[in-house]
Amino acid sequence: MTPEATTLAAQGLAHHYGQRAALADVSLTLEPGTVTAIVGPNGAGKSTLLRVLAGLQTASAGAVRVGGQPLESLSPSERARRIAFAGGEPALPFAWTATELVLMARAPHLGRRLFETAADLALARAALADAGAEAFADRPVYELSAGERQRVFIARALCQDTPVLLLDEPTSHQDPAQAVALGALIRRLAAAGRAVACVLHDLTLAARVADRVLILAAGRVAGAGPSVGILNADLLKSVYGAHVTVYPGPPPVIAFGPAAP
Amino acid sequence: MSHPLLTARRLWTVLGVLALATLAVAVAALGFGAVPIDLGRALTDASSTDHAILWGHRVPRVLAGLTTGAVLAASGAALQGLLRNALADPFILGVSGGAALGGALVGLTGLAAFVAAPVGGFVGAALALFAVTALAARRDGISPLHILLVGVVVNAFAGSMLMVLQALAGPAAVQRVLLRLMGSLAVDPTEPLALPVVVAASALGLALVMRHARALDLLALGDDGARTVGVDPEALRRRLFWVLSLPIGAVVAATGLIGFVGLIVPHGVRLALGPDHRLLLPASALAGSVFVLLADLAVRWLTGPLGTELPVGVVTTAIGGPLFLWLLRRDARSSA
Repeated sequence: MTPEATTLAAQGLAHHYGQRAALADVSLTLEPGTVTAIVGPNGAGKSTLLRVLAGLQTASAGAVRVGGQPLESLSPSERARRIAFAGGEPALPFAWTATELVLMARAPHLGRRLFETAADLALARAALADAGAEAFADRPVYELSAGERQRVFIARALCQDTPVLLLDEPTSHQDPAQAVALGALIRRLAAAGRAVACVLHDLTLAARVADRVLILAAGRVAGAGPSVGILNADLLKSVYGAHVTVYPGPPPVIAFGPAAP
Repeated sequence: MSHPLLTARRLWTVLGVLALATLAVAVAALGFGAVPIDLGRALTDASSTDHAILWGHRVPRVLAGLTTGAVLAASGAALQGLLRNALADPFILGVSGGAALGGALVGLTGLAAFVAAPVGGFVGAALALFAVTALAARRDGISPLHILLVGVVVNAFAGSMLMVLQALAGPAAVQRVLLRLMGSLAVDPTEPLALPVVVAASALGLALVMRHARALDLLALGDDGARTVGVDPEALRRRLFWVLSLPIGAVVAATGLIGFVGLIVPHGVRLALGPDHRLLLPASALAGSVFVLLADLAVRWLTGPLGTELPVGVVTTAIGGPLFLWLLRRDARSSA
């Protein structure tokens, strides 16, 4: 597919929960080969934005297009062949193993076939390895820790093999080493041509992983641009209402709290 | 507990073995009953009493058992997948109660049973299924324990309405329409078309459900997770509620309330073979047939010592009830 065919573009998105505006006039473009981090304080609308981009929620205004086509014009399985989403791991009924769960991502590619092929299984195994989940590939998912389960669900999104990948707080249950490993994986996915967007709370990780950063505050875009320029102390301080120190690095470190004496 | 990945080869091997087991139990059920018969003579000598018993009583009864077990177990498995709830089952959710009430109501209008039972059962099952899920729905989905409580209420309501019908209807109508709801595989010889209609409705319903086996798997990811891999969970639930109401309605209106088959058979199959619906649905259907035929063999075996024939639902409930309680306790512990 050409880069234009895989670009995800959102224009003028707005969304309300009752009276409260969760999103207002948000626009962004996810280009192939780039990582976009979506950051901002709790309740800023980050997850709502990602869910609207994934087609899980319909915005009350604005449009999402993938490859120039409106999201709502695509069939559910056509959409699933273009956009994968990971975020929030539901408790699983029954004893599905990690490999079985990841193989479910091949469903939109099966067509009329009843069973996955050896190639599908190879993709699932590779996705589990990429996400650092191969050690428990054959264990029931309900037995796994929160961090392990999160990596299995990330592997599921990878196995969907889509040009656009949306990750909602992919490192929320990860230890620092795993978070860095996932950051490196996200860079590799972009290098392979995917358009990746992830909601991140860890701004240091965002600065290291993302090409572009979108800062949301109260549902509005407070800043957007290349990560180097946009993640500056003044803007972050005004958005988060806390003292922020940016150590430019490399590698950059963004620390919250009073400056060291 | 873990299980091998499902492949086409594993699917057909397991189903082949289960089909042979079903066949063996069906042959045993054909040969065993209150009157001993010689299967060889029954098949070769059309003028023998053995032939009359085999074709007039045993074959219809075994067919009813096969169909009932297959429908209850496979639809239990499908409901459990649809509702993401291991404790869902047509009997517990009140769907069977709705089907029984619907079948009885239409039956009392005087329509021939082969029309009245499946039509009334289908409408009753569908109404109960949509009512129970609507009443149990919360903003964040259907609460697993709440739906069981709503099912209890719907069952109690259907039961009390059946008693009202029993009080109002004449003795002949009670005999004809209501006694069959006690749960028995004995087929009414005055209604030769009843069984073929039930078998056809069941086969059609189960075939349609099995077409959605992989979509049922994907519901394990939650409603949002299912959407991200191309399944519309609300549309799937709506469609399968209608589809499942057809075989459940037909079977329950014909053979009555046979409890817990839809609960314990899929549970056992899932423990042994894994949760993949591509195998779980057909394997549950076959295992359900075996379970109901064995329960009916137990009924016939007990008829001698007891001097009367117990409803087959008594046997399935006597086995299934305690197992259900055990499951409930185990689930409460693991989610605590």
